[in-house]
Amino acid sequence: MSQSRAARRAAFILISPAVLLLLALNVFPIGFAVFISLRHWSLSIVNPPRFAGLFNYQELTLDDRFINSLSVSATFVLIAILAELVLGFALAFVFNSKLKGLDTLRKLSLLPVMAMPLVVGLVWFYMLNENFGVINWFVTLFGAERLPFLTDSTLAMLSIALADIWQWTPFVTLVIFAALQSLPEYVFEAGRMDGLTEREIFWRITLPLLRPAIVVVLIIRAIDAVRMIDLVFMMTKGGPGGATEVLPWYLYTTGFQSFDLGYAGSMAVVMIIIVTLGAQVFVRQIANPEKGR
Amino acid sequence: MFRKMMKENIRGAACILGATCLAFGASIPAHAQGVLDGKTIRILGIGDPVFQVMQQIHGDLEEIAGGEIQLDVRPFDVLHQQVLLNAQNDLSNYDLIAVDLPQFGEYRPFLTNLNPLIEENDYDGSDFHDVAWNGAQFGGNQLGVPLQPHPEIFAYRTDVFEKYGLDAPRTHDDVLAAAKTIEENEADMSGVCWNAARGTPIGQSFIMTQGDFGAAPIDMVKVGDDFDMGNIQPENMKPTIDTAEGEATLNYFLALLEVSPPGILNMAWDERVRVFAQGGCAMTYIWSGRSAIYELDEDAPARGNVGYVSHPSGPDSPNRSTLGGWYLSIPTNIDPDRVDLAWNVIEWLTSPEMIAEYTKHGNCVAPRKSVSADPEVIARCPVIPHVNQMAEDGFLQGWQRPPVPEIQKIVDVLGAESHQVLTGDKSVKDALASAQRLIDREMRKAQYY
Repeated sequence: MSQSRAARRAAFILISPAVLLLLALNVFPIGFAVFISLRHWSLSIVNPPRFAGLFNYQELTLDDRFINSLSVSATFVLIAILAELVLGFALAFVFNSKLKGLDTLRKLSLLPVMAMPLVVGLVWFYMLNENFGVINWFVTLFGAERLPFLTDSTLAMLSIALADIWQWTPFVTLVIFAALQSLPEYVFEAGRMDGLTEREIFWRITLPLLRPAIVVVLIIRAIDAVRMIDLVFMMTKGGPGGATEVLPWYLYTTGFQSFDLGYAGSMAVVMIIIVTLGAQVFVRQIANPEKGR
Repeated sequence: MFRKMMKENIRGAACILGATCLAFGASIPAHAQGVLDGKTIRILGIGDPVFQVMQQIHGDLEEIAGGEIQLDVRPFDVLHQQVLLNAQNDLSNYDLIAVDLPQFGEYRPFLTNLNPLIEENDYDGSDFHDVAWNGAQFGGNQLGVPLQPHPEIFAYRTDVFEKYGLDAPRTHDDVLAAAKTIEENEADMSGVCWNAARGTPIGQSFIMTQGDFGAAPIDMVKVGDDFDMGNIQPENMKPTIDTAEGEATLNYFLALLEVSPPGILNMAWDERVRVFAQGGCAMTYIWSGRSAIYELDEDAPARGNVGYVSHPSGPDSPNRSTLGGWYLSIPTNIDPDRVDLAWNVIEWLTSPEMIAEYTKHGNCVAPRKSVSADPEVIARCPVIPHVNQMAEDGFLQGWQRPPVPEIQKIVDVLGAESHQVLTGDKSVKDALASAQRLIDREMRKAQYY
């Protein structure tokens, strides 16, 4: 009895630093965001914050910009993640082949991941600029009209997605490539001996074995894409109209330009809920893949 | 006083004798020599010409001041954040902060009243143009000293206008007619460059253009053709966006869109001037201080070919240009031991010699009468006499951007709604109604009414 109590105490002592860290870094900020979201709180007004109840949340339901930003975020995540996954997957298979020179290419392909997203945004902004951009300069060399990459609603969204895809596809490639390298060769040999074609091997063996890696990369990239703000900040400021106003950008301008902390807090809470729920779906897939089928 | 004079004389003599006395340093007032005396001054500035000049000549400034100058230069929105966040600290991280004219209303509680320092140091503000000096006065308190106050005016290519027999544009109709003529005849030149990028740029364009129609963004008391900025009461805080003038403003934007260069929906302060400088458009709205971008660029087609007028107006309205620009202020939470140092640096950086020095490096602003009358300065910056004339004619006003704490929120809302009209995502009526509702909500939240 006393031994088990001692074991419990030891366990408690051992896990308490991690629990404290979790409380300080995760639970407290979320709790504080909820606290702020229930107040009228503006830094530009000397009046102290005052209790607002659910006012800020009610306002969210009436706010066209907020609803638009949710839809823009969803569109961006969908375009970027799909393209990154498809391209990353294809590149991983190319890198996995035994062709000469791929080693160097593999290393070089990782360079975009190492760049700061703000710098990536700035570089793409200048490349796609209608008046000074190098891409439009090339376009006009062939006698074509300049393309409004950053001022047309559809092109602006695609331009931001393009910058994101350029930067993060190598990361997807890296994870899938690592997973491919770890697959046991005998499984494929067994498949071939059973008479499976290469296509059948891909669909029935390779893809199911890669499933955990794909889910992990999807979770990481999806969470990252939902939080993306750097590219919008550098390239479009949410425009044209509200075509690229993703949720984090609207949250940022509300909280740190207009200094309406209460309202921004309510948006942050909604964003946390969305990201957590989304991540849960994927995490369950990893923990219990059979359930998800 | 005597001790101060002695110190100045000794520093002056040391400068003449010293091997490190630079040619640039020789033009700096004697009292500036060694103003820092081995100490460090921390300045929070804006990415506008005057602070960019300070960055360019940073080494020289430190040598002359005899200490370290920590110059933190930020974009407009980031500076706004930094000032408000810094105001929450017990002790300020900065000794001096740059304040834009309309922000005095918002920052007023966080800024030191400079009157005691002005009296103690016998500082004479009468050399500053009245409109610039008085712009930082609230309730009799001087909250800042003018460093780069300048108006948004209208620039046009005189050579192109002469070629097509066009007169300087005085109204919006003139602007649109001239732009159409030029676009029809010049293959590579568009009509007008302006701030149409989403957010603060077009938000500010909205309130300034609404001013062209003789209207302010909130329900201020009208005095003659202008508005009373000195006594804004809670009942004056009701937004006046969904009005005939607001509608005329957005319709003018839609008309401008037809005669604007490519990429206009992403164009803001610097880019519009650079496109104008390179001949991409025949006219541009411009903060006068930025005219150095082409006046000091020997390769710019616009150099020496630019005429200036105040903002063209709407029908039956007087010409008014918005006065804005930057002042140096001392935050209230500054370490009390550093107040004198901060004041001495303000005196130095806003001295006539320094203001003249800034014009050599790309800041065409002269808030001091003595500097704006200097022929060398005028030769470098042809815009300065035009701005002086506008000030004398009463064309420069600040009510278009009233100094109230919610001004940035107003600009943000208008910056989002107006852009949706330009992209065709919203009708003029819907955007105005939405902006009116959102700003009204902010005012109610702040309990003005």
